[in-house]
Amino acid sequence: MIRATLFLWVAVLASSLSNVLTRRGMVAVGPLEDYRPGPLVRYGLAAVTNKHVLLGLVAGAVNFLLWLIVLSWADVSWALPMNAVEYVVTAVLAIAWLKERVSPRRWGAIGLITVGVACVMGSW
Amino acid sequence: MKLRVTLVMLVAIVAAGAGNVCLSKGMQLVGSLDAYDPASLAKFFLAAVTSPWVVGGILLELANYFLWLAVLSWSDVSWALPLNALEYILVGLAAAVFLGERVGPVRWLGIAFIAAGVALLMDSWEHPETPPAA
Repeated sequence: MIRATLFLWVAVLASSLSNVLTRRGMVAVGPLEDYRPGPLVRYGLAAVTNKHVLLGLVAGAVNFLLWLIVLSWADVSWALPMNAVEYVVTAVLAIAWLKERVSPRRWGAIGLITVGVACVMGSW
Repeated sequence: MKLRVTLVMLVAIVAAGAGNVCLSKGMQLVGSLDAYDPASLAKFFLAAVTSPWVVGGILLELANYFLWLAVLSWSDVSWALPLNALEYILVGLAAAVFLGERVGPVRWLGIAFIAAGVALLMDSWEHPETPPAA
């Protein structure tokens, strides 16, 4: 259980990192506005040759490989809900780094997820 | 429009849940990873990517990814995002029925809390004072 939890948390961090990197890269690439095949291919190429998007893909691949390892050890009904801890990590990072204001509703949501993850973790 | 968004999201969520159940079935057949040297890791991942269950799971996750991109490309879908919380419940049910996992009351309680929390968090996206954090 300890190794599964540990690997799962590293996988969640990789997923978080992948989201942040991909978002940063895609902001630089810009919005998709032309859906014809030519421009679509050019847009795809611009995306996958962007440094941040590439790093985001690598982090996503790391997340997937770790997820496969976790599934070789754990019940999927245990491991999948544990991924929700990512929402808590994202919220905490937004508060700590971006000094984002958090509404009572979102605090409630974060609280529910935290309690839920604790229950699921304890149900190994 | 609302019907289309709901349907596509439901298909995406079912694909994601079914994908994870397939991945789980495949990895249970591959067996527990117990040695971390390069040769063991290579053997483990080779067995994984040649398992039909894992390949099927990956295809379902890819389908989910592209459907999700389609949903996000439509405007004003924030009201539909709490539906994502359904995946936790679906996977709990499917794991009990198809994989024979013992999902006890504590785990169900945890899943319920998480699903409620995720639904509430997603729902808060539509309120202008709380922009999405991710």
